[in-house]
Amino acid sequence: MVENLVIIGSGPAGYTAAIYAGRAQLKPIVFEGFEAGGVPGGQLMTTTEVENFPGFPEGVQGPKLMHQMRQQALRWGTEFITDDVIEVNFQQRPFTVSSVEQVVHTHAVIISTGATAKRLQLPGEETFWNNGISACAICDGASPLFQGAEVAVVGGGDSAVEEALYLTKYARMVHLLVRRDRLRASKTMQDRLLNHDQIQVHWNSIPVETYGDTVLRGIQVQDTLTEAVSELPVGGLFYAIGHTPNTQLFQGQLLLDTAGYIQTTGKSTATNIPGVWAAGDVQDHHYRQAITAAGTGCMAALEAERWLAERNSLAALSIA
Amino acid sequence: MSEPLSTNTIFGEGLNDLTQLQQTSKNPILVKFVAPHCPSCETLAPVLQQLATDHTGQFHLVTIDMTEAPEFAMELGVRTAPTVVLFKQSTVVERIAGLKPKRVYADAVQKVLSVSP
Repeated sequence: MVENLVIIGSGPAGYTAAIYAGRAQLKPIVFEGFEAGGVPGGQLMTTTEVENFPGFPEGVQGPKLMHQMRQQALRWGTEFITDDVIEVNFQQRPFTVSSVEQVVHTHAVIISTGATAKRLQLPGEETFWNNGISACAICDGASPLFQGAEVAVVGGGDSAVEEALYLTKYARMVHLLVRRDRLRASKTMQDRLLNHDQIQVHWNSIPVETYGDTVLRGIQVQDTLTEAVSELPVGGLFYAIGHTPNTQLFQGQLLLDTAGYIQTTGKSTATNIPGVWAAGDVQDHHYRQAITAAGTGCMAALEAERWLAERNSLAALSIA
Repeated sequence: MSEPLSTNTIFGEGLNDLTQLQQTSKNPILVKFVAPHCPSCETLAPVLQQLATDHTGQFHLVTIDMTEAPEFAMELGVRTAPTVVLFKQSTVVERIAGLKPKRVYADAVQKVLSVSP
């Protein structure tokens, strides 16, 4: 049994591709993941309020937006498999997509595996991972470890600012370590942050080491201008420094750029293999917004639909 | 909570349910610590529910929000959500921190069930 289309990955890109493919009656199968590349639903699952996705003047909770997209995909005939894809073979047709629990053969594939939060790989990080150090403040902020404690967030973009603001609900004081002398975050987010008395911003600062015993007790912070190192006693350290694209599965088969992002052709979502398209953050390190991910998900599905239709008419011609 | 919990109860919620089950049942108890805004906790939920239903009558599944029982969570070394703690009576026999592949939970349950009481 060969499927028309398999979508690897969920999030706004995968769900939008599924909606369009479903409405094109392709009966798409979506491997939405389990834990390997992040949670099903992608990065918006660990965001609280989304204020810039068009259509929501009052804002919308990230998980709620994802849930609704998923429901819409289900309505239009998507089959979801909540499992991680562990292997793909694009070297022969039909393609093979293998998850932990099953193998699927398919004519076409859309990749929307997104990206995973970067870690700094600091000395001591392995010891304190999930024991004070985390890459998801929204997920782990409620841990009893951080109640009334002082914590640090590393990063300068919207995510870092959002996480710092979120942590003030639990921690006594949040130290935001910013590599440069300014934030990349939007002006709105910056204003909220800089006016908050539970947040202390450390400019030109990077963490260089972690220390503690059974739990994290503090970090060594370096001033990037003077190179002076000082101690910052904190019970938590949260990374919000960006993401790495989830493309390990495709190495050796798809063309990737030097940062690991899937290369697509011009304005198309097509990869170097006909029948395989890429949408969302996995092929975008420039915009990385939910709406651009959804947009490319739609484009990928339309391109897949046309490609499949052309193949079918070619196949019908060759039989006739 | 109308009915007292017993060996026949599969699912429980909160520290009170856990304490009750530890008193009334000899079966192992799988405690899942969750937190608000924890998408991994939701991803894990159907996996554990399936395991509990597959092994009806053999173990109990109790969900505890760590923000509602912070001292208990701290005592057990729970630092992240989800954390699964497997109890045999009041003894902790296994702790799984963070979301792991489905196999890990199935294997942990198999292990605790195969050891004689």
